Amino acid sequence: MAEETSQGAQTTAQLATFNQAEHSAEKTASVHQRLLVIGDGPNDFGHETELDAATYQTLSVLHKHNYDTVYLNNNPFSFSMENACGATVIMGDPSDVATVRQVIESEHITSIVPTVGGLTAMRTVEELIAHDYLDDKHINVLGMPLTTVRLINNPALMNQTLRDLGEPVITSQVASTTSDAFDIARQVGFPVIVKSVAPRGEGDRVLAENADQLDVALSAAFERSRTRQVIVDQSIVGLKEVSFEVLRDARGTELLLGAMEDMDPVGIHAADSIEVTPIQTLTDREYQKLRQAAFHVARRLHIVGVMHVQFALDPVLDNYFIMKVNPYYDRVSAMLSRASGYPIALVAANVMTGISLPEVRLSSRFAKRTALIEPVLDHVVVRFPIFAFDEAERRGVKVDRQLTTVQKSVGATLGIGRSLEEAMLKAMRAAHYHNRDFAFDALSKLSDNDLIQQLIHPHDNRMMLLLEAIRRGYQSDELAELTQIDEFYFHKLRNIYNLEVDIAAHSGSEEWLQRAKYYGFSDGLIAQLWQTNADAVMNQAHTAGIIPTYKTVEPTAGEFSEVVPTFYSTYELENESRPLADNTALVVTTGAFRLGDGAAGEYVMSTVISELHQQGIKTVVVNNNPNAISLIPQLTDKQYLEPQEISDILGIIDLEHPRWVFVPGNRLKLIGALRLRHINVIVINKDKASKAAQDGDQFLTRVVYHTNKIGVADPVEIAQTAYHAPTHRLVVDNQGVPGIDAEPGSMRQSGFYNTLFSAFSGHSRMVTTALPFPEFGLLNKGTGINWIRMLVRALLDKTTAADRRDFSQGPFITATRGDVEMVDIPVNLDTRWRANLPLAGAQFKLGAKINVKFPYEFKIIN
Amino acid sequence: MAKEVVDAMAMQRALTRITYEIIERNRGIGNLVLIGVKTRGVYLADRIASRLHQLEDTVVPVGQLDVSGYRDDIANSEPTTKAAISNLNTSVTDKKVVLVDDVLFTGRTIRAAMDAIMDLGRPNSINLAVLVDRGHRELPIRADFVGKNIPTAQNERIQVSVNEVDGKDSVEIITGKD
Amino acid sequence: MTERYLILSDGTAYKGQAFGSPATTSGTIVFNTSVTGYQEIITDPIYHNQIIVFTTPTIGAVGVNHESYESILPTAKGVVVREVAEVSTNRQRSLSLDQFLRVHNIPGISGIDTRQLVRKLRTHNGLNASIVDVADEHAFDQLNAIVLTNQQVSQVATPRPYANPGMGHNIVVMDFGLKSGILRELAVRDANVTVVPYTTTADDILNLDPDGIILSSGPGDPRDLGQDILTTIKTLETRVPLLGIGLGHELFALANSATIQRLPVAHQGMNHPIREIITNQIMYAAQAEEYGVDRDSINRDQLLITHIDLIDGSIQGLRHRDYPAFSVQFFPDAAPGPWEATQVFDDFIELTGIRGEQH
Repeated sequence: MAEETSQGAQTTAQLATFNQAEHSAEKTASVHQRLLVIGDGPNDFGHETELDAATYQTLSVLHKHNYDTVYLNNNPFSFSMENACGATVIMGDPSDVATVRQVIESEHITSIVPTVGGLTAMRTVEELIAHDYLDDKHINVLGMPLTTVRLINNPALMNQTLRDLGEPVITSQVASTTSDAFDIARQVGFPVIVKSVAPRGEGDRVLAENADQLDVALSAAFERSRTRQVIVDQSIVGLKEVSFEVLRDARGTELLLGAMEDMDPVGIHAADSIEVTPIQTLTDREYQKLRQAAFHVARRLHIVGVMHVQFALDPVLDNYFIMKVNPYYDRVSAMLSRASGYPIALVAANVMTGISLPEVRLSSRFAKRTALIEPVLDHVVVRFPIFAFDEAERRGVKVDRQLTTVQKSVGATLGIGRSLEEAMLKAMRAAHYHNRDFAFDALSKLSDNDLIQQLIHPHDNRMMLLLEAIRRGYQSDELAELTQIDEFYFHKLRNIYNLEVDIAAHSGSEEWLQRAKYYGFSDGLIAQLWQTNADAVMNQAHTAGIIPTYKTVEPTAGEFSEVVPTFYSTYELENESRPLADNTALVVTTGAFRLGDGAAGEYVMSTVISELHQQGIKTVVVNNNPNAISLIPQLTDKQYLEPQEISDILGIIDLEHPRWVFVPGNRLKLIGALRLRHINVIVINKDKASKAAQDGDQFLTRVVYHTNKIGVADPVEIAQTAYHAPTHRLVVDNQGVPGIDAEPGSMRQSGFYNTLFSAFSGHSRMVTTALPFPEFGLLNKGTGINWIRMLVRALLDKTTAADRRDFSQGPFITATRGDVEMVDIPVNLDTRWRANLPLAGAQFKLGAKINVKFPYEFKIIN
Repeated sequence: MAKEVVDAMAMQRALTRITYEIIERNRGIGNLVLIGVKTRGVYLADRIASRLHQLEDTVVPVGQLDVSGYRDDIANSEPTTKAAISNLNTSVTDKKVVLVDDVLFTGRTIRAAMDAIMDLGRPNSINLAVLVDRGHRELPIRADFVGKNIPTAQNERIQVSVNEVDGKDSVEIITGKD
Repeated sequence: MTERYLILSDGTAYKGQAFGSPATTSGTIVFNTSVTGYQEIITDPIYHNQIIVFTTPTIGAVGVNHESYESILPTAKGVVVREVAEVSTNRQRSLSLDQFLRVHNIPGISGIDTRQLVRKLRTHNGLNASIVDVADEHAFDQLNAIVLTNQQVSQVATPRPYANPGMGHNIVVMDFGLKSGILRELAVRDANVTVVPYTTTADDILNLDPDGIILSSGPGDPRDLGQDILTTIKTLETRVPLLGIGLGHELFALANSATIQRLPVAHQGMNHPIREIITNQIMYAAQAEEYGVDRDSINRDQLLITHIDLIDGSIQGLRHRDYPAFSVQFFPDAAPGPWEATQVFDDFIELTGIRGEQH
């Protein structure tokens, strides 16, 4: 029997502090502890709902340990603000130091949690430190010492620290003038990477291969720097890029949570690269060397929680460089947590409060001491980036599709399989690749010259491009040299190509159908290869008994009996997924982020899930977005990490026999297909943000609820809003907008709708649409009533008397806070994508924030 | 100039090895008393005691010895006050005493320590454990348990840091101006 | 692509694709959960007469390279995996895994639902298996008729002594199926090493005037090795600092009157937390164990328990109370495996150093 540790019996009142004896880094709090969790602020590039998810999990852990917690945020799509697990929620800007100070003082804060608010929260804390504010107030930061917080936003200091530690970093120098910067470039040689010191907003790394590019990069970087300084780095473009994520507790126990490699070499932003976990192309020596280095850094920085280190590995010279150190929760944490089933955010939250890893108690679904097992996988996970260049080009704006060190992707999907081929094809499919993109001739018109150019300077289409190059007879070693991609991947892509050829040559063959499915080919692609339709392939597979088997995503590769309720499909011998009770709802979410309302979609569907759970219904979710809050195991009874094509959904329905299937309103084909099969579909109505909103982007709306079920007037008006780009406001008094009649034509199903009126031309009606998901953010946060939950109750015929009262109170009573505005955050698309015309408008946004004059306590009736 | 010669990991390993050697040499830890020489020797004695506790589930008494009058890190210094033992709630008579210090240099501190112990009673034996033996003995004294032998020049200084007071575990050689 | 079968002594058969050697072989089937290090694992003599199931879905992606041999002549009986990659060229990769296995007459089989297989193996310990062309009654008869030798050590250990010279401490390694990692770690510490057959007497070893002695890891059940070896160990431990690794650890325990038992489930991997009791620190190390020391049999007046596996509670380290002799069940040579475990060699060399000075 394993021995129980005798230490740390009472942990709830203990917080991790630093500089203490080797085994006693816990102390009993002498004063009443009140924690401030700094929120993530608006969603943006590289900031989806992974932080909201980590926050929700962290708040639940703090609640479990009886911490008195305050949560500050202004993200209208924050699920955690509405489900704060007993924490006091303050509506206010977490990136504004004045606001944070005000909250610290009025709420008597004693400790700050900066690790689930991303880089923004780290910056805020850094600014607080810079003014000695925290020291003066005797406020400590959980998760790392103040000296480490300081390093995060100061690359030069970080590099020096790492160098002192004996860890290799790239030559990196600070320049205050263009001429200094050019001196450095002359000294280390092109290409160089330019970034800003203490940047405003997100810090970008820009690659400059020649003097012209350096000029452009420098002026932008100087502009962004708060100190008007830039850093010029020696370029390590072409090396292998890998990320290691480690966890460390206050007693110094360290474990490796996972590692992933980028298929693309250094030089393409990691988020734009195809990423794979577990590591595929490192020898054990290389792997252990980087593991050791990551531990080394975590120890030096006294991390108590998670840290992700990004390395550039040179397998030829057998050396490496540290590129990035992130001692907080980020997309890598989210991805690895989804990939292994190891509950990273939960364990990190426990550890942050001073609980040692052996003492962390997880739910009984996990084998004992799972928190201490280094996760190992018996499946492959591929993360596939999503680009939205086509949307821009559809609007006649030309953008630069070449992938660089600046993130250009807007979202990502995840594919899980038992082979890299299967995982890759599933991830691509989840990214809604149209079948025609897989076609043999998709890129056949590309000239050889263009092909080579794009092999060297990859674009968003590179997977197709690589396959095309294989088709044209390029050898793996040639391709590896041109692209700097490990030859292993060409071996795998060649397998995919060979399969395509073989499958095409065996039309209708059951054996090849089995084989195609085994390697992740979708019905659609097989149909195309066989010149038939997807339904025919689906039916043939069904008849032949070629049905998916679902395997558990768990962190011990089958060694222990972990009953983690997360599954992915493959086509093997054993199915591990057993159907839940008959009172089950399957929820299809909005999937991967694209431009527009990704965060809002996750927020709405997660709230739907939460309400179903509240109603005693078993919930099953299907999603493939690695950053999605809806995928965290705390919210649902079961998760399927799967693409959301019709056959994927039907496979799950065949197994689970859900009583309801909840689908977002924009999935028309899916809804149709399910209804055709007499499946009980409940649509969560939605429309994209108001396309009709021309008229100088200024209009008024009436939000109505339409139903014939709940015994209130139909439609019932619940709010009015005013929109003046980029600001949405709840209207607190009638501004003379005309009354509204039911528009049966545009309100076909129960749900919320809005009618737009021109702000100029005599309030003339423009259009009635389903309420776009982002508007729920304003509605819920502004009124303090959760309209999404009310909708779910109504759809289930479970409307309460309180709901009826809220519905009938009318627009101006529910709008309790007239000073609440929701402001769309402009994304830096023009500079990221190098658009030739300005890209603006509601379609091109990723996040929003709630503006308030003064921070106030936010409460919501759920 | 400070040069680290023992890092945190090596220091922990050295203490671990000394602990095993104490068990080995004393055929068990019954009758054992640890006396740490202030300041850092006390923390080292505490760590050895906590290791013994982990292994044997037995609490070994730890006393503190104040020899602030002695400066064994500076050659030829004369004592200004007498050494005294505190915090020890047991007699040393018939006990196996292990004296714990951070650095062994001239041996004068240790002699004073032994005097102080003998003043308290008549131990069965006195052994000496040091983290660092830097040489240059002036008395016929030898450590029974040595973490690390670090030969040094007279004008060099050995700086032992312990997490409890210095915020880090390390042994450094300091050269140049004192 | 050739179809072959993996058959188990419980009567099940798995269809897969052949790679490596076309030979028909039999052995005990075990699974290993390591993510990296397939070459080190396949070449470790501990897998003598065993068929190894890799839970990591793909192996072969880094080929076979000269740095990762743990023995020159691997004697594993087979490799089972979901996917194998035939990468052979580029940097250190001189051979592909497929070519390597052909050269060494080891068959491989891919396309297996290894997850289902492992979920079976974790409750059915000690199954035998064969990799065969046809899964017919004859094949099962052959498998069931097979008697696996219990003389694994004599089949893989060196028959005569050899030197691996260095300028530092004089270390004698008793070879029970030595893996190269042990020599590599000693070489890094500049030890002067003599490897001797496991049958060498205590006198012959002491005549080499060693500063320290290592009992190497190796395959099989330590109880099959006989009393003479235990007597030798008993003599050596009182005279010279001693380190036992893996099988050497089990022998050290037996020599000090503890008993050994077969584990309910063999554990092979590198992700279990191991606690060093004296410091309460946790580390990770490669483990490959079918046998373990019975905790209740340990005479606490003689041996200290120094390391514990926090997952299964198994004894991972012992130390003699009266002599500088200790042992670890895990593999501190980290080939493959986490590097923090290599400090066991630092501890050992330091111990030999101190004794050396006192001579």
